[in-house]
Amino acid sequence: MLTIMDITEMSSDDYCDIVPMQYLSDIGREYFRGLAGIDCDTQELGSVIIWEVHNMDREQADNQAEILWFSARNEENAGIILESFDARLEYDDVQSSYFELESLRDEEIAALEKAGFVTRVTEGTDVFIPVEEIGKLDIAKKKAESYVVSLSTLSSFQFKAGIMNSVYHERYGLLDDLPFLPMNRYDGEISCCVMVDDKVTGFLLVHMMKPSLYRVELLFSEKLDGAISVLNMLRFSIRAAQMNCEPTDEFLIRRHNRTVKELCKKLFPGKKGKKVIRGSR
Amino acid sequence: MGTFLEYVFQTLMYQPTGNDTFDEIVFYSSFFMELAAAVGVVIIVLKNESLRKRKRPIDRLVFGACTLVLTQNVLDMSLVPLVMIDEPWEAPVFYTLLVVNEMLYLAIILQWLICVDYSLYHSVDHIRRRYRYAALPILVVAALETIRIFVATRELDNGDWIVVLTNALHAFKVAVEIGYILIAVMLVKRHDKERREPRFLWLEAFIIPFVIGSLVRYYDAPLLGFGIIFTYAAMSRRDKYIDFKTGLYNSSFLDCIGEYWDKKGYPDASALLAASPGHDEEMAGILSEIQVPNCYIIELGSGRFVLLSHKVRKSALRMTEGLLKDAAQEAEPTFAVVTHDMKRMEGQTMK
Repeated sequence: MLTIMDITEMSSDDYCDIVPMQYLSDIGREYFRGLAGIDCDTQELGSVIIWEVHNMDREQADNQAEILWFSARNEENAGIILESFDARLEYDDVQSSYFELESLRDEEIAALEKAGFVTRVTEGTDVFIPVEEIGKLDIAKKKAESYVVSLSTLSSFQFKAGIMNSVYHERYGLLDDLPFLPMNRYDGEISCCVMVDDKVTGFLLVHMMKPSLYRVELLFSEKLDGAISVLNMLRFSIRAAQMNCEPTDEFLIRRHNRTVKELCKKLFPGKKGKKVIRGSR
Repeated sequence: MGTFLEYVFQTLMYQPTGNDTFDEIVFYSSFFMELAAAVGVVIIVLKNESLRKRKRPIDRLVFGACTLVLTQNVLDMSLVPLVMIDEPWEAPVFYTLLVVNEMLYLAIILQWLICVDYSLYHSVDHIRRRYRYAALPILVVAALETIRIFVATRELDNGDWIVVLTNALHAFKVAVEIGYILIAVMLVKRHDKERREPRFLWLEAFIIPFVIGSLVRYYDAPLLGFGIIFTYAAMSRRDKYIDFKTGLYNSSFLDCIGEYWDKKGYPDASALLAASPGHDEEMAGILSEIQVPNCYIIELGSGRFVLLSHKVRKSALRMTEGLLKDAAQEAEPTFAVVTHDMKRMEGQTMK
């Protein structure tokens, strides 16, 4: 018998043996949720699920839940936690849910399929590029223009004003809760911004998910000279990555829309994502 | 009709038509048009305090254009008396002024283009970057024109190549002129696609005089001057909606943008009202720093401001509220800001 509990910011550390820190550290963010099933008899962790709700802030789009982490000792525990998961989705008015997970055990897959998910093995959306490979790009050979500066040079006000610029252009990157995230979430040296007339008109924000793994979470530039600004931000960040990271450190690029897919195809032709199990309902 | 077209062609090439009356009319009228253009730009500078003070970048750019127009038209008016002077220094001075005249003509079109760009995008840094090398074609024209005059006046045995150089130079100048104008057209098209604000700009106010001046070359300089004057008249319509002290829009802009959005059929506007009675200046300063494209900040008076925008999520409005309140708390001395998130329903007026 499992007791289902919410994972909160206060309790998230209790699960760090099972759940990677990169997911636990997101608990407490606006749209992140987590449930843990504790065995009543043994007091051991029976199952865990962490998910993010998308589009809650968008009036003209259905709410979607993306499962970020799911593990269970057995199929029964998996089924129990998925029932609670469904109840929470109803509370958040979520119309559909999906996942893309690298490793799932057979019992976990069985429980997900019983819960209505259609699963298949496919190529993942994320590509992982080592720093040494990024450094070999042609665009990295030229230095960035002086109007691109590192994030660490910004004041808190300038950063927030820049984020405001991005969200007023409807550009949230990978982060539905971008307006509420602090500046220290992002790597101050690798992340950069475009300064025009003392205002931030573009961002390339990189977050360190765990040591040696960085994720590009926002690439935004105002349309005025946008293409050249993006190019200069990429140049800046690539050079910064070469200076501040190990050659084997990796950058995760999520090919979440057509623009990013095309950019990845152009910069890293032939680069494929890892094999994942994708499910949706 | 054929004769008339012949006359037009001759004036296009700065050639006398052979009809003395027609030639005298064109010649003397061009002098008066140059005078009118010179006087015209002086009047608009004297009449407009903002142009005289030149505190805003747009005023400095327009003043620059007016200076170029004045210089060119005065120079043009002085060419004829100069030709009549029979001194050894007359010829080199005359030819130098011809080269300067060509440079000024292109410089006026370039300055107009920069004014258009700033009027649309309000960015000094962008102007500096984008037009860093824009004057290079003008220097190329100056160099080629100098070579052409040198060769022509030395009567060197040069065969047909001087004719080729003259025609090539003419074609290059026309290409540069048209190039600058096309850039302005593209900027306006892009602005109309990306931004949701009235333009306060008529490209036709410059392009039509430019085209006429290109066809009747005796009038090219003054008509360019009139183009600058008409362009400024169009741009300055925005000034009645601007509070010159804060640089923000005043309350009259509310109706203006409301009518514009209704006309264009833009739905789902959001409005955030921010109030800090007694702290108008401080609040205006904070709002100027966070001003972003597609968010229009309007000062209603008595410390009240409204931020209008389109298709903005609730989180963006919440963020803006938080940003304003935090900035007010960090100000010296601190002050309070009250905010209210309003959503405009379709059919309702802005007020």
